[in-house]
Amino acid sequence: MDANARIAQWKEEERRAQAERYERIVAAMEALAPERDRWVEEFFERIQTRGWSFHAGMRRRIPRDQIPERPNRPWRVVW
Amino acid sequence: MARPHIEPLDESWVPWRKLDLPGFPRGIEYRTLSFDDDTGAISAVAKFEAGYSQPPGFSRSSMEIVVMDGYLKVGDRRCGFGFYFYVPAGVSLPRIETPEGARVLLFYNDSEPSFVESDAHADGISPDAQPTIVDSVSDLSWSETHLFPATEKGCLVKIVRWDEETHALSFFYTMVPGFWQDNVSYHDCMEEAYHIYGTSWIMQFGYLGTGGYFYRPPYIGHGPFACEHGCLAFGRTDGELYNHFNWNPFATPEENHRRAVEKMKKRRPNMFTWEYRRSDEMWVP
Repeated sequence: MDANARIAQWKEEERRAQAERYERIVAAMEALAPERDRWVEEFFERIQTRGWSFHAGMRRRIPRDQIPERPNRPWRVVW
Repeated sequence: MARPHIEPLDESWVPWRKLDLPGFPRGIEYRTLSFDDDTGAISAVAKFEAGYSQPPGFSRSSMEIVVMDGYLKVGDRRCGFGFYFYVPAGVSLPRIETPEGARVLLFYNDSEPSFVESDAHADGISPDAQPTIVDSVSDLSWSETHLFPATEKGCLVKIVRWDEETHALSFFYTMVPGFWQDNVSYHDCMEEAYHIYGTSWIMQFGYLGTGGYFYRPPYIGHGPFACEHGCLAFGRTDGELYNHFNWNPFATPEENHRRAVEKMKKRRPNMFTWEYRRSDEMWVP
């Protein structure tokens, strides 16, 4: 096999392997959703009480009316 | 599609493969962390077997190496844990040997891995061109990020490369035990990182342990962050690392992009206006 053909073959092997890894990541992140939902509620609670980090150790509290509503769509974390 | 969003990846998911592309001596195995299917560029963990020897030569792609275990003998120089190399495309390195084997991070930035045996640089490369070699353990101290806005205190960096044109960074970073940062962030640049040691947590992605990796395209929300016991990692960006901090984890990359443009209008109004006026078309971020 000449060098160019070998490189093309290698790229195709890597592309396929990465597509499989990507699907595994997506599945793992979907499985994490219940825990993530709890973590986000805890995050919203902390930034209203302990504060939101805006710069190197500086925090300010976020009023409840500024806490974002969850959009009416699945919360996608892998893009 | 270039590189997709790979986050989080556990290195152990990836089988070792022999690096048997044209030109390479035998004795390198690698695990792909991320791969650009347009160019062939790759980020990988690689191990050199004990007794590996590579004659002087260059790659057609710029490349970066981070030594994690063992050492590389590069010419007469012994390069152990924490050594970093940036080698421009076409710049020849002296003979590389690994008498006892070594494990490294290996990045080919522009194209697939390549090796051309040669005592001299490639045609068109100045004979004065040199690789950047940094002993990050002995020669650099940990410092704050000096970004503005910055991460919480306790996230420290050793910057081993800063590209003066693109502001791309290559850097080691550590989070001290008990590190905690309560915000969501996104950047205008790609960011990737590999955990050499220790575990950190990001709300969207859970725990990233030793051997964990991510390749995150621009504008993808991430955070809050925490690290219970401390960690050491190596990261890279392909542009200026500006922290767009916010508290909305539900925003899409497109929404984040639009917000970044709105922020630029406030932060750099003259530049934004100038760029808008010189364009014949309506600005549609």
